[in-house]
Amino acid sequence: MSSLKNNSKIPSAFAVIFSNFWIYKILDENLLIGILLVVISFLIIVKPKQIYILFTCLLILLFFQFQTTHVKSLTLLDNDEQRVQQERIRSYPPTYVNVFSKTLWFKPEIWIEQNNFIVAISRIERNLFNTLDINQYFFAGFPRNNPSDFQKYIFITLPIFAIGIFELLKKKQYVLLFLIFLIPIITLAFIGYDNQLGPFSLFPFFIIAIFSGFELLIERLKR
Amino acid sequence: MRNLNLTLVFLIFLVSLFTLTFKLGLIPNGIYVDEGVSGYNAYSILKTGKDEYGKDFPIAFRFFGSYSPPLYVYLTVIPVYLTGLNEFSIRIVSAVAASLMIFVVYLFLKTGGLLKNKIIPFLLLLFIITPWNFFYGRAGYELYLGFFLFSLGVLLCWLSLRMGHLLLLGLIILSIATYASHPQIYSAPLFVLGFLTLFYKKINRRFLILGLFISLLIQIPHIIILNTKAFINKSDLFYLDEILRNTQNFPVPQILSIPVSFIYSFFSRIVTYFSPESLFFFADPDPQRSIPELSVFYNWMVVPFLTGLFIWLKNIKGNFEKLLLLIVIVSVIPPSLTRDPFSTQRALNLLLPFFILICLGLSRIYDFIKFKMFAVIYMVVFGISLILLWRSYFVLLPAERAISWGYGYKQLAEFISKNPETEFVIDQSRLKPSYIELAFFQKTDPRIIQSAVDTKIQQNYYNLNEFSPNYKFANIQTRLIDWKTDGCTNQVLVGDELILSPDQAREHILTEIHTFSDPRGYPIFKLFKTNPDKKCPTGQN
Repeated sequence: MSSLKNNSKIPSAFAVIFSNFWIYKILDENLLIGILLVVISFLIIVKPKQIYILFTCLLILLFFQFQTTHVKSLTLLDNDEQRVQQERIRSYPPTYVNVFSKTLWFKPEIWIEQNNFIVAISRIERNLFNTLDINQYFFAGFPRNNPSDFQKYIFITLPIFAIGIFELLKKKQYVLLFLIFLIPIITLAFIGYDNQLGPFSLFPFFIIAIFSGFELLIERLKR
Repeated sequence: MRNLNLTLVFLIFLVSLFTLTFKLGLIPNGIYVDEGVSGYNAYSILKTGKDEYGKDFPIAFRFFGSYSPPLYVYLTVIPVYLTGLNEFSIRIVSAVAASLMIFVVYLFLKTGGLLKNKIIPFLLLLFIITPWNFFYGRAGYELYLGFFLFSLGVLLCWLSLRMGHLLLLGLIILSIATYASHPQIYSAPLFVLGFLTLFYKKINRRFLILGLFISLLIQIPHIIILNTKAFINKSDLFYLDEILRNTQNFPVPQILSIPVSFIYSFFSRIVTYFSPESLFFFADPDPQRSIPELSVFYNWMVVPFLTGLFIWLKNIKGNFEKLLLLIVIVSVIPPSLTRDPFSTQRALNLLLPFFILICLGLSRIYDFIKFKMFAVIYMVVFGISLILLWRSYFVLLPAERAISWGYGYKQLAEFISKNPETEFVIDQSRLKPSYIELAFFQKTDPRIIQSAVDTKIQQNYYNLNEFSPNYKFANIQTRLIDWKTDGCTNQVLVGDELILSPDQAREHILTEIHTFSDPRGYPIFKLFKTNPDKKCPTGQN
């Protein structure tokens, strides 16, 4: 994020931050979070090296994400899940190995199906991959059509977003990516994003990626 | 060293063959209608030289009006001849193709020059148990064969950049692939076009001209049916209605609304095929086309996939990288033009480039750690993947997907065979075409099925794509139950729990005689005997 001078970055930063549907929905439903997101996104674009300030702001953002999200237990099963669990336990064949004259019995149905650690892992995976679904950000979840999804970014910005990520990786902006992508994504994997505003802690990441892509395109056009 | 490598690859091929044929006739624990129709038509060709409609050696098989490419059926004739008509014989062609795919993947990895030779055997073993490969490598219909031939053709074209004469073979195999499965009808010519555009300067012109000429000759049967419904029969899968419906969602001038709506629908689908959620977490929404709790790749593969994707894009100007890009494009276009959000069947060609990207990512991880460390991590991850596959495919699939795979028809067919004096009516309102399952399991003489169909079909075989599941042969009728008349005829009505509910049974004075349930105990078929004497005492029948 260095090709544009700081002064010329300001209008482009505003343009990118406010050229999506998501920010208006957030501002409409929770002004405080909306302003925080605008400030963080703006800060990263204009002052990307202020890591500590950025980190503090992100922590506050994650706190809001946690506060506004209906967090589900990673291990508790509802009635239907318990029914499925019992059915699955019954599906296992008797599992054993004959060693000389002895028979060693295994209990994979208990080790796998009734293992709280595995239940938790599978829920973390579900949260993680739901968050990583590109369609929910650019196509309102279309064509799978999940009723809770809503349009966040204009779909034609997807190529710019992809170019931006590629550019960030190419420029080895690992610390920035760790802060704005990895930390929120790990948090979301544990808590999910069952709230009105979606996984908004990733908002700065999308803005930075789109901004980087946009910046690269401008640079190429200038050449 | 070279011999050692080849021996190792051959051993991995044997492992693949063993894995893919293990309990092949038992799991999946039923016959899906597409398997049944392929197998029965192979049986029909073997016995009579005609398909189920009485057509001599068709160019495209009129399965339920879908006109499927014929190669799988003709190849299945061999195992049906050798081992009889059964679950194993109709799936073995896919399993062999999937095992041979090991050599194709090996040559891609070896000649791509993107990764270290030392880890290739590890990657080949991983390919065997990759859910997308494993699942379709054991499915008894044409998809894997088409994918294998397409991949082989692509490989030979790629190798022809070093050994010019292989182009001839590559083009011929790609041409043959169009007779193997539907997606290849679009993907193969698109690939040839793209390949010639990208690598024209490196291609041996003599072999190119000869290859194109022979490929064109191979296409003569397709040219014959070019103007029939048999050739352009998948147009109903295109989402024109959706495009027109969504035009109002875009604030653009009216003249642009249809193109913009199309771009939205098309690209949203393309993105779905690249979405980590689709590839590593969600499965195909159709329960018959997926394994419970597994997506097309294992969850952990998301890390090497994204790493591989980045490395690939960074070096996109290389020849092999360009080839991968071409494979991705020609593989993703056909499924993205159909309405399904994520069709693992139509997008099967993506398995090859995506697996290569995963290998590329794993290779990069290998570069960062020592071989011993890599081997340990690999063993752990491979072991976990193997357990997941065993759980999902061998334990959960037979229980949870039994109905989707046609479980229950074998038992029903046996029951019907044991009661030759009784007439059976199998309701078709909520079931997939039952006649083919019953004909398959009863090994009904194909001449009987051929004589049960409308004779107009034989005369205009490639243009009558409307399908009716209504059949009458032996003591079986497959059709909708007519509640006005069927209760007044002495027969057994067969249907699921919703069709033959307790209320219906009471109202029509039916006596339950049997229930066939899935392995979990959920009813699949209910059999009710009619009581004409009580239902129609005035002699309406």
